[in-house]
Amino acid sequence: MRMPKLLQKVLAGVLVLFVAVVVTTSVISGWNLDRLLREQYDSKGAALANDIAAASVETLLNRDASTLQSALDQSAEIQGVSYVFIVDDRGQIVAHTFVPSVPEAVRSLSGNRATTTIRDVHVDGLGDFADIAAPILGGEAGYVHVGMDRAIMANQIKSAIAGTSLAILVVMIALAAAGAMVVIRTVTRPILRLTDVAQSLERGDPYRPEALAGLSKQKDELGQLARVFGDMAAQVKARETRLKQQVEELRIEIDQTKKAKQVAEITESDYFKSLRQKAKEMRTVRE
Amino acid sequence: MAKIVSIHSFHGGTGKSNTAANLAALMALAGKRVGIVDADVQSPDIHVLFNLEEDEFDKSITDYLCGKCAIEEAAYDCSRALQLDGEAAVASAGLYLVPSSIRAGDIARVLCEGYDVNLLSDGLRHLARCQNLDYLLVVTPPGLSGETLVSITISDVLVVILRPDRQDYQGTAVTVDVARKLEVPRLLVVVNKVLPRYDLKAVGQAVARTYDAEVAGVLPLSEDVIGLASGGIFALRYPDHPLTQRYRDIAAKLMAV
Ligand SMILES: Nc1ncnc2c1ncn2[C@@H]1O[C@H](COP(=O)(O)OP(=O)(O)OP(=O)(O)O)[C@@H](O)[C@H]1O
Ligand SMILES: [Mg+2]
Repeated sequence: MRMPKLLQKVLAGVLVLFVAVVVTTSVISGWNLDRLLREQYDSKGAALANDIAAASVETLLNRDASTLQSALDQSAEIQGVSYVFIVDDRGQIVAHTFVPSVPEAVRSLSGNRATTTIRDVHVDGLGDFADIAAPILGGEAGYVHVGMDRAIMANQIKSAIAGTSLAILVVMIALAAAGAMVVIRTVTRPILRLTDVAQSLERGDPYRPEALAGLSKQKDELGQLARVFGDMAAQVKARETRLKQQVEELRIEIDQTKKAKQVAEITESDYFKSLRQKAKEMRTVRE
Repeated sequence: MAKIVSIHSFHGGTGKSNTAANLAALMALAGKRVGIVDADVQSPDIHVLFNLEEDEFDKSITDYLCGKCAIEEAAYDCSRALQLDGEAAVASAGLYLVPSSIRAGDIARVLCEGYDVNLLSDGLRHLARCQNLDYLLVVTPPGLSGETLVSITISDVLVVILRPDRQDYQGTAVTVDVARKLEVPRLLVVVNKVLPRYDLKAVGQAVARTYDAEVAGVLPLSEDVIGLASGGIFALRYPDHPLTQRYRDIAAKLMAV
């Protein structure tokens, strides 16, 4: 069956509406997710940085940086951690996980003696990070820097949002299409039926009230339309029959005996007989 | 040889003059050379439809029948009516009107003396030859007076007009019978002034059945005709009107004869 025009229109409208809804909800939830993930990653990074700071006091005081390296390498394995490095009290990087060398952008990063600080950094060629700096011994022995990868976060957000949004969109559209189909059917079916009946009236077929019987009982606007239509059709038909009767009343009555008498009065005169003769002559002459 | 078409109705006011004028104009527009003779001497009116002013003509069919002039002298060229609406008439076409006198004396004289078959017949033939006519439409007086009978006698086609009115039924039946006795070669019936709300086709069928005759057309009563108030030829004024189409169909039937 051909899709009703009305349904096509409603579906197109629903599609536009839902795409708009899904896009706005995606943006909002993406924003929320970003905030939550940031907090989570940052606290994870801060905890890590503080742990390392506490653990490395001894080694740093002993100026034995080499033992720190393996600890840092292990920490850098943790998901979301991009780099770890330690700066000593003189500002020298004593251990780090950068391969092969420490990028310039990172060298200038400083910390706060009193507290763990977080700042966003961009490192050319490596990407965006949240650099978390934890003081070692209140900064006396230096700082631990942990870099949390922002790109991983962004990817997580993207995949989470894209997946759910698409799923939501598909489900919503499917539901809307089904709903619209049901609603439209209940509207277009009766309209198509009315159209059929109207066309049959137009052709001059007799009006059969049964054709709209079910519809007329419906207690909604369509039912009302069907009832009004039915009344109208009945009236139109009644008027038509009246007119037909009038034409039939036009049946022309002729009094045959009177006519015969009237014709005879004319045709039996001598004048008429001579005319008839004349007519005959003229026609033979012309032929 | 020109075909003579009599346009007749048993009653006055049926629409003879209007129908005849429209048919004549449409036939002329179709390129025919057409004459129209107002032989309804009791109520001369066709010159009005053609906007021929009373001081523009001094000869009439009445004068011819009284022997006061030759018939061609009473034939007025009305082709100008065809160009009225900018519709270019075919060069060879022509439209000639032989009006009827509006002078009371002339009317009375013809009425009481009547006229001779040969005189009318010869006159018409002569006019047809003079102007090289294809068709000559003769509008007859109502009823079945001698003039009408003469007109029918010399006709090739008789068009009987009636209204869907009981006044017209019986008289039309008598006319049809009399015309058949005169062996008119072709008899066409036109129903005029039918209320538009009637089924025109059904009306035509009823009339055809009743008179056992060919119905050439069923013309609805038209407000536009009344609005024109005999101020011109309807078909020329309203070339695209449905009524004009109906006139055109009748003209086509006449020209197919
Ligand atoms: N189809 C029509 N619809 C409406 N009015 C009409 C129609 N045909 C004719 N008439 C009007 O009826 C009147 C009589 O028409 P017309 O003069 O053609 O009839 P007629 O038979 O020649 O009458 P008369 O016997 O008086 O000469 C005119 O006013 C004319 O406008
Ligand atoms: Mg008249």
